[in-house]
This record gives sequence, structure tokens and C-alpha cells, in this order.
Amino acid sequence: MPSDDRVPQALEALAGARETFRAAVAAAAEEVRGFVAAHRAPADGAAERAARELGPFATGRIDTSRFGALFGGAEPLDASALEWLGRAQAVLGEAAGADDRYFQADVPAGADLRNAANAALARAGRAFGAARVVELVRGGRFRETDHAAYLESFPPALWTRAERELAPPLVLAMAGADLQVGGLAELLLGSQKIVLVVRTPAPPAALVRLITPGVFVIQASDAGGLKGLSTVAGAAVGAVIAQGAVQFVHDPAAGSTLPARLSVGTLPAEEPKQALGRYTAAQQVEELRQLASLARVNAPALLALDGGPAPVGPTLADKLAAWLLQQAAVPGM
Amino acid sequence: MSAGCSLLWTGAEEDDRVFDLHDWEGAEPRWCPGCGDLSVLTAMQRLAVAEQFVPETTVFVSGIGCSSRFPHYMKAYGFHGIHGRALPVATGVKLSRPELTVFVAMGDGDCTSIGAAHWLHMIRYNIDVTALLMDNNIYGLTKKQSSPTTPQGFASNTAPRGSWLPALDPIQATLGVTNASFVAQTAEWVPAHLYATLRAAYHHKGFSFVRILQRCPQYTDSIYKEAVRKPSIVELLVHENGLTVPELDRLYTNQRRHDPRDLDEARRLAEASDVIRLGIFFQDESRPRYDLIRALPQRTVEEKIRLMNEELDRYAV
Amino acid sequence: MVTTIKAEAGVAAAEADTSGAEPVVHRCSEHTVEILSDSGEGAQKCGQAFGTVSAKMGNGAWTVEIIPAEIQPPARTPAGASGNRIRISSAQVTNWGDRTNLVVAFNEQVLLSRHEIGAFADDAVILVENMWATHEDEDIRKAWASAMAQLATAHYRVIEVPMEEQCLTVVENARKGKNMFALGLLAWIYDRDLELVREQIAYTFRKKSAEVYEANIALLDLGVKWASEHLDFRIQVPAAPVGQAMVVMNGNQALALGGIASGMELAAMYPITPATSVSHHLSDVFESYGGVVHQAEDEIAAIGVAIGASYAGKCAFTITSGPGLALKTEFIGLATMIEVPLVIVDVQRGGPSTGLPTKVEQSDLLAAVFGQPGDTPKVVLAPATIEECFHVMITARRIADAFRVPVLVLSDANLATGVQPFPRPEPRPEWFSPPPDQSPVPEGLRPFDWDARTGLSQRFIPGQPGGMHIVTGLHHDENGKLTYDQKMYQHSSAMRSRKLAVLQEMLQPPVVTGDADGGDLLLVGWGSTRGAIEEAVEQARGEGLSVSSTHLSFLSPLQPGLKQIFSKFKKVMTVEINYSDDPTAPYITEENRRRGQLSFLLRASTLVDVDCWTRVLGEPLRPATLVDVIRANVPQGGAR
Repeated sequence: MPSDDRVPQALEALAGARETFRAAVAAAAEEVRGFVAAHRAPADGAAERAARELGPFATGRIDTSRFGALFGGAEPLDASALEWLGRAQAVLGEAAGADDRYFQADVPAGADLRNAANAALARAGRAFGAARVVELVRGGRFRETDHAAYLESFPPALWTRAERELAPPLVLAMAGADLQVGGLAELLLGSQKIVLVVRTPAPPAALVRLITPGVFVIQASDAGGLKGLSTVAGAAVGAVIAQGAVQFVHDPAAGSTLPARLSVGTLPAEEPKQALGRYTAAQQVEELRQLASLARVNAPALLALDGGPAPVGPTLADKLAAWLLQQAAVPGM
Repeated sequence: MSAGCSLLWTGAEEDDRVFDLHDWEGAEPRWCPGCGDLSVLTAMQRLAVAEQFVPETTVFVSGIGCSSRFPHYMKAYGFHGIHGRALPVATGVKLSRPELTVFVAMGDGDCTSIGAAHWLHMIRYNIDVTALLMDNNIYGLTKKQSSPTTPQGFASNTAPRGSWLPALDPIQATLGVTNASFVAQTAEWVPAHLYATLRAAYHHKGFSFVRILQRCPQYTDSIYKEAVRKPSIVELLVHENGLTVPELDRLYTNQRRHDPRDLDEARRLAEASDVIRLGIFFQDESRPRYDLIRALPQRTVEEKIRLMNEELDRYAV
Repeated sequence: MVTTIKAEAGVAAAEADTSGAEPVVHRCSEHTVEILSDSGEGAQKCGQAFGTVSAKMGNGAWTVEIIPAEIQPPARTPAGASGNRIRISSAQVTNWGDRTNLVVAFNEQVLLSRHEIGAFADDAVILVENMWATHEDEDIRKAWASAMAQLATAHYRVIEVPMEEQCLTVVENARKGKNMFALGLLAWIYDRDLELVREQIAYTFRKKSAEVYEANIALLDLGVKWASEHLDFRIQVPAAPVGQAMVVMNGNQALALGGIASGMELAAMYPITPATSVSHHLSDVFESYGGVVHQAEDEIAAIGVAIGASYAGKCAFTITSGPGLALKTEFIGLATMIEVPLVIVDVQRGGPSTGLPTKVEQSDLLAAVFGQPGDTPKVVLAPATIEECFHVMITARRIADAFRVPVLVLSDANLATGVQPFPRPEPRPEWFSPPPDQSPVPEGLRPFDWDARTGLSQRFIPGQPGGMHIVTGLHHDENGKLTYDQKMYQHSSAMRSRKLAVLQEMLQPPVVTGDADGGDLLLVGWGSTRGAIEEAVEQARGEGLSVSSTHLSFLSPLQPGLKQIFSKFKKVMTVEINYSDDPTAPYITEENRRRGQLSFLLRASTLVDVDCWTRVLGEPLRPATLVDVIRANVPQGGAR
């Protein structure tokens, strides 16, 4: 695909969410390192391991074979377990040090957007898969046939609540004609952030289909409009559409009624008359009308949806996630 | 510092455990019958169940004194440290493990006397820790010595002719410190209020300071005798931005609407008066939090080694 | 023309005033330089740059700061002397050496203060700012004249330099610029690589504007020019080729970096001289590693925060000096009792009380080993070199974690401010402690499940399901529960103490430098004095004296085999920078004599009659002084 500087800009807007994900993955990688170090019999013996751990100050002062005998680590795991832990650690380490490419993908022309997003998230989610593999190995429940694939791909459907809160953000570059967003709704859970960088003319109000009480939705004409998307609590989706689209923002935190939460830019004077690929003109008109109606009408039917998702008691996962989110707000990030 | 935050153990599988009161019962309390500490323990255990605290990620830190036995009686992680120094320990725990829920139990000697410096600075740090000042106005464990909060004229073994000076008011003091973010007062003999206050303190993001007025049945039973008998000398501070305890409305009719966002009014209300005020004096979650300001993402050892090599190159000759 | 003169010699005055002629080049194996100014005139920047450049050129170097206790002491007073002292050598050097061979001074009063304590070699060359001779203030002119008269009684060669006058040709405020002019003088005299000097200036002023850098370079060039036109001598200290990558830093920087390299992520401290700069270095870089320097409200809170963090699963450290160590006492007892790993760095200074905040002493040893009420067995380590300041932190952290014990690291002001090149550490993943294990605790395990042989137990940390327990400073049993069982008091005390015996069993005897088979005199040192002691021993052995030395890095527990080593020598004595009674002083008897702190420990643990030689002059030991001590203490008839 030709380079598009809106993609790096979109990634920049998601920097906070990336750092949240990265920090959690780095912490897990370190924990696995500690676990593996403690459960692997060193190739060169306990004394040499002790010597490395104690450093040069111990040279000639501490008998490292005695130290190693006493603090030799836990009962070594079998080779197969260590092998899988090692692979999981490598995946976590790679994800912790990943650059922008880890968080972006192209949607091939004509492809299904939901499937493309799911596949991209599954790939990024292999860090979660690696953590799962570690758990399974440690618990003695790892089966290669069932679980080895987690290290390659770990789809959002398998993520836990905590993982959904730490979800890797995703930037998808795509054509306007493929902007069939309905299927994305099921991926917008936890704190998932998705940005669609649309390269070709697009329907004017495609993202209206994603407006639900708990999801932040934005259509903008340039990536600058996405600033602060990382700090949005909960799930968020944005589209950067250069031409022809209505700019709007649905911010669940902005108020208790839909009109308060939804702000819409100028609507087109004329109804769309041309199909975009499989996207019919009628469908485009329908979406525009829907947007207009949501923004202006305080429909009683919609009010019932107000107030955000049903409250649930805080679980550990919630607290962990809440803390990680706060961490993402560290100044400078 | 972000050790402990990881995808492992907490994230791998959905945690569907449910904890009941039994899960929170630690050692058998060895406080005297009628001790106010018992009410606080009951309220805390109730809160733990209601909010479904997870025992292994909950830490109670205390100093020394009767009330500092508190961690022994909650079946969580407990740190029963040294006199006056619970707050620095809690600071270390929370800075290194932000995902833990941290409570501090201190007596009046602990907090307002030997550990007063830490108290003052903890208010300014505004770290997300809930602190209970279990204030019975006396040193109980060491057998009745005056504390800074002992009422003027109240006799003790170290001031047999009565405490020489006006008592130090912890609410007034806390409200006077820069960056205070949650300041409340409650009383062990009003369990509903105690519970509601602890709950609000727990939910507050930042340093929550709760002074709990307590009776020591051995030494200071008389101090709040009248207040226990006559709810009319207790004034409840109520507000939708703070605390409302509807079940107390019938008994505690002396209520004052006070918006806890109003610091000036909070300070006026904290001044000495004929009534005992219970409620949230002040709350502001927008105050800077040291634990957030200093929070840093975990680095992997590979990153650390790379940084260290760069660092050493700067010193290279 | 090149003359070769032995180390320690200065430059003979006879060759003065040969302007226009080629300068005489003196080749020396080592030379010690001192730059002295009023506080705030930047002599330290000049000295550090000179030392670093020399190290980069392959010279052995040891730099120490000369620090007044006040930030802005009155100008032109002996008490205000501020600066650096740099010993450069053809070989690696391990200590600050003896007396100074060449001095650059910005006024005669600071010069006088160092002259009066015998800091200069008899034939030292002194370059002194001469603006005071013609100063408008008559008192100043008189002071100058009087000082110069006093200096004239010594055999120094004094060269007056119009520093102010020269600097004013380049900058408006000469007070801020003389240091770089002085650096120019030194750069010419010692033939330093000017490219390296410019690089160093760029580094020193990296946070300042380009104009500041340019002005400093102009001053440097001016100094070089003036020296080349007016001085008739140069000094050559040939550099020894260095076979490996080296780094140069001071002991506090090394402690800071070592702390990071050990994987610790929290350092809690309260400002105290001379330890504070450890936290300055940490504050600069720690955050990029995910680490926090917490400046606590007081010394007590600082250790409390470190203990809280360690308790929560990741070993932390606190940094202090003597008075701070005193305040941390109760918490150290708690850490011992609840068996929380902890590293405490004590950069010792002169004591007691506020004592000598900027000066070296080794007087905290007994406080470190015994300083807490109740029985508080803990580990005490002492790095002997700046390199060891780095590596000791890694060992300390590992021991703290392995044994669940506080580890005290005793550095001192000599290491803290001394700058020395040493082999570049190669960081290893094993140095960095991993994050806490959050795995569930298997049922049936107890939080203080002491192994009856070793006293060791597994630690549960918050976050581990099933590990909920309480730690308490009260006497407790294996479950961590407070106990009223008398047998448990005895047992748990034994378990905490046993860990030291287990550690001691894996320690190795110290190395004897000299004759391992024995001899007449054995000097025993600890901490920063190793370089000076070993240099003195080498020199004395060159004179034919039967003297050896050994140096202790573990003070608690003590390294094994001491009694056996001591038994091979006719006389054993410690050399320390702390107080001991002079045995010939009034009232002092063999019975009531208060001895050096290590000597006290060694006598108690080996029952050997270990003598001591100690001084508290607020300065590091000088090899030449120690050679005299050796001569005086080798038993009669000891010379081979």
C-alpha cells in the first residue's frame, strides 16, 4: 500500500493505549523470565548461575557452589515445559519491544472489515496467548495440539475481561467502499481502540452504526481530530475519512442524553446518489438519516439505553485494568 | 515502579471466586469487650464482602497500639510495623504495587504524635490509600497516657491533674494541609455511619483520611458517653456529593447540608463547637496524586541492559 | 630537552625564566595536581575535566574533591577552600596518593589553608592568581603579602599568573571563567589532548547554551596560550595503554548505577551529605528504567518506604549517611525481625553527631553491625574501590533476597567523591531481580517456615493467593502470628541468627597481599583504605620489611579463616579512619584503651591481640604516612 502519513498520525493518537498494553506485556515478560530462570537447571551448573547472579564482587569472596546449592532455584521443569515457556517469553518480549507495525494492518480491497480486524487483533493478541500458554504450562494443563496456536494468534473472543481492558489498539488502512462497520461492534469491548484510516471516498456516515451508549465513536477528516482518543475510558472507534464524510463525535462521557453526547458537523446538502462498491446509495442515505435523527431527536426509545453499561462490582480484573489505565495517563505519554 | 502488574495470575482466567464474611475472619480479636476497635473491624469486614475485596490483593498496614492489631484480624496481607510509621510503609507498598488495595490502621498516638510528620506528608502525597485514625483519645496499650487528642483537663497517668492543653483536632489539621483530598469523621457507636464513611473512603481515589471517634472502655469511656446517649449533640454532614445515610434520619435529626467540595466551609465546620460533626468534610478527586505522577511502566531486562550499556558508554574513557 | 625525575618530585626552580626558549620537559611516573578556589569559582569542574581527560588518555587517575562545608563560605578564607585534587600516573592508581606536586590557586588564602596542613610536597610548583597583590583594598594587599611571605619559607616554586587580567580579555565576569583558563594551563603543562578537553567541556556544559560553551573554549585556549608563552616547563606522565574498555566515575555514581543494575526499582532517601549525590545520579536516569527515587519527608520515612516496597515483593534500597543511619535504627530492627530483604547504603562521613559532613571517616562500622537495640543479625559489606561500589550493589541485593535480610553497604566520603577509571561492567540479565512471583502459595506452607538447620524460609508476598499472613515486629511463630511461647522466642532468634552463619560458611578467607605464609606484620583494613594500604605495603616490602596486608569486604558476617591468617604473623594491626585512643596518652591503659572499630570486632571474634592504628583527620590515608606506620610497627629485628 502507498505510504499514508495518516496511519502514523493515527498510531500517535493511540500512543497511550499502546503504552498501557506494552507495559502490561513487559511486566508479564519479566515475570516469565523470573519464573523460567528459577525453574531451569543452568546448563553450566548451579555454581555458575550463582556467580552470575552475585556478580563480580562475589568473585573470590563467596563460594558460589555453596550458594548455588542452597539457592539453586525451584525444582527444574521438564524440557518440554521450558521450551514452551521460552517460546511464550519470546512472544511477550517481542510484543513488549514491538514497534508501530504491531498495531496496524491493511484491509485488502473487498475484504470483510470485521474479519480483517479480528485477524489483526488476534495477531496482536498473541501476547495474551503467550501469557495463557505460561499459565497452562505452569498449571500442567498445556496441550500442544490445543494451545500451541495461541502463540501465533489469539482472537479477542478468548480474551479475559482484564485483557480486554489492556487491549492492543489497532489502526486499519482500508478503502471507503469496504466501510461496512456493523461487524466491528462485537470487537468494541473493554478498552479496545480501533482507528480506520480510509484511503478512498467513503459513505458519509458509516460509523453511525456503531453508536451505542458505552462506545466512543468519531468520524474525522484528518488524524489530528483523533487527539486524546487514547485517554477515552472504555472502547472507542474512529475513522479518518478525507473526503465526503460527515464529521461527528459520540462521547459517552459528555452527557446523559444522546443529543448531549453526540455532536455532528455539517451534513451534506444533497443525499448521496452513487453506490460505492457494494455500498448502495440507499444504504448511505439511511445512515445519514439515522445520524440526523440521533443528533436532533431526543427519542424516548433511545433514552432507555442511557446511563452506560450495567454496573458490576469491581473484580480484580477491573481494578488491575483501572490502574493500568491510570498508568497510561502518566504525563508525557 | 510497576512490579506485579502483569497478565499472569490475574488475567489468565476469569476470577469467579466469591468471598463471604468467613473469608475475612483472621485471628480472634484480643481487644477488650466494648472496645471501639471491634466496631471498626466489623464494618471493615462487611465492606470487604460488599465490595468483594480480593484477600490476596488487599493489604492492611498498621503501627503500634491497640488499634494497630487490626491487620491480625483481617484475613488479608498484613503489616504490623513500628510505632508511628505505618504511612511510610503503606507508601512503599502502594508505589511499588499500585494494583494492591491498601488500608492503614493507626491510633491517635501513632498518627498525631510519633508519626505526625508522616501524616502531614501523606496528606500532601495524596497516594491512593485509605487511612483509619482510630482515635480513642488515649494511649491504651501502654495503660492510659495522654495523647495529643486527649481532651483538655482529662486525667491520665502522665497528666494526673488533667491534660494541659486543648486537644489537637485531626480533622482541622488534615484540612489545613496542602493537597488534602478526602477528610471525614465518623464514630464507632454509629455503625451505619461508620460503614458508609469507610465505603466512601474506599471508593475515593487518593489519600482518604477517616478519623473514627472511639471509646476506650477501660480509660476513656466517659468522653463520648453523652454523645452516645444523645444523638442530638451529633450533627451529621449530609450531601448528595458526600454522604447520606437515610437509615439514620430518624435518630439523628440534627443534620447539616454540607457540600464536601467546599473547603472553606469544611474548615469552618471543623472548628471547635458544641456539636460533634460526623460526615465527609472535604473531598476532591482532582488533586494531584503522587502515586500516579510517579507511576512508570515496567521495563524488560533487555531494555534495562540496553539503557545501562548506553549509560556506561557515557562514562567510557 | 627532557629530564627524567622520579615520581613525587616537583620541578626545580632553577630552570625558571627561560622565556622564548624551549620548555624543559620533566618525565614523571606520576604527578598530583590540585586546583583551589573559593567556593563557586568552578575549580571542581576544572579538576574533574582534567582528571577525566587524563583517564581517557590512558593515565591512571584518582580525583578527590576538596569541599568546604558551606555552600557559599566567605571568599578568600582558608575555610572556603574548594577544589579538586587529581593524582595521575603511568600505572593504575588506587588511592589519592601523598602530597601535591603542582597547585593552581585562585587566591592565596585557599593556598595557605592547604599549605598549613602539609598538603603540598616540599618542591611543589604553585601557580597563583596575582590580582590580589595590586588589589584596591589595602587589607587584601596586606593579606597577600603576608601569605606570600609565609609561603616563601617553604621550598615551593611560586609562579604568579594574571588570571583575572587574562580572563577579562575574553569574558566580562572573570570569576566564572578562571576555571577554564586554569584548565588551559594544566592542559598545556601536562600536554593533554585538546580535542578531548573540548569534548569534556562540551559534556560539562551540555545543559547550557552554545554561547556558554564558546566562552569556555575561548578561556581554555587563552590558558593554553598563556602557558605556552610564559612557562618554562612541561610535565609528562606517560600513559599506560589500557587493554580493555574503561569507565570513569565517582563512587556515588557507581553505587547509583550498581543499584539499577541489581534490578531494584525504588530508592528512598532523604538528603544527607555525602550520600545525597547517589540520588542525584539516580534521579537523572532511574525513571527510564522504570525506577523511582522517592525523596521522603525524613530518614525514617525513607527506610519505611523502602521496607514497604520490599515487603510488597521487590527489594528496594535506601541511601544515607551516619546521622541518617541512626534515625533508621528502629526500622532496621523491624526489617530484621520480619525478614524483609533490604539494601541500606551508608556513605560514611566524620562523626559523631553532625561531625564532618563532607569528610571521610570509617566510624559507622560498629553502628552498622550492632547499632540496633535487641539482637539484629544483618549483613554488612564494604566496597574498597569505586569499581566495587558498582558491583557490591548487585551482590548486596542478591544476598538480601536470598537470606531475607537487611544488607548494609558501607561506603565513605573518600569513595563517594573520588573519581577513578575502572573496567567497564558488562551488565548481565541475572543481575536484575525479576518481578515478584505471584503464583499461588501451595496449601500447608507457612510464611516463616524456618528450616531448622539454616534458618531460611520462603517468603510470601502480597498478591500471592493463599499466602495471606501478617508480618509483625512482635515475636512471632512460623505462621507469623505473635506468640507468647518462650521456646519460640529462643528458636526464632536462633533462626534469624543462623542465616549469618550459613552465609559465613559460604564465604572465602580474605586474600593476603604480600606473604600468605606469614611474617612480621599484618595490616588489616576494610573499605576505602585498601589502595593506600596496599601501596604502602608494597613500598615497605621494597625496603625489605616483612609486612603484608589483608582487606575485609564482609564485616558481618566476618570472612572465615581470620584466626588462622593472623596466627602466622608476629603482629596484627588494623589501619582505619576512625578514632582510637593513643596508647601513650594520659590515663590510657591496655585495659581501657578504646580501639579502632574493626580491631574491636576482630579481637572479639578471633581472641587475637589485634592492635590498631587509626586517625580521624577528615582525609583519606596517605601511603607515605602508612609506610612510616609500618616502619614503626614491624616488630624489632623484623627487617629481612
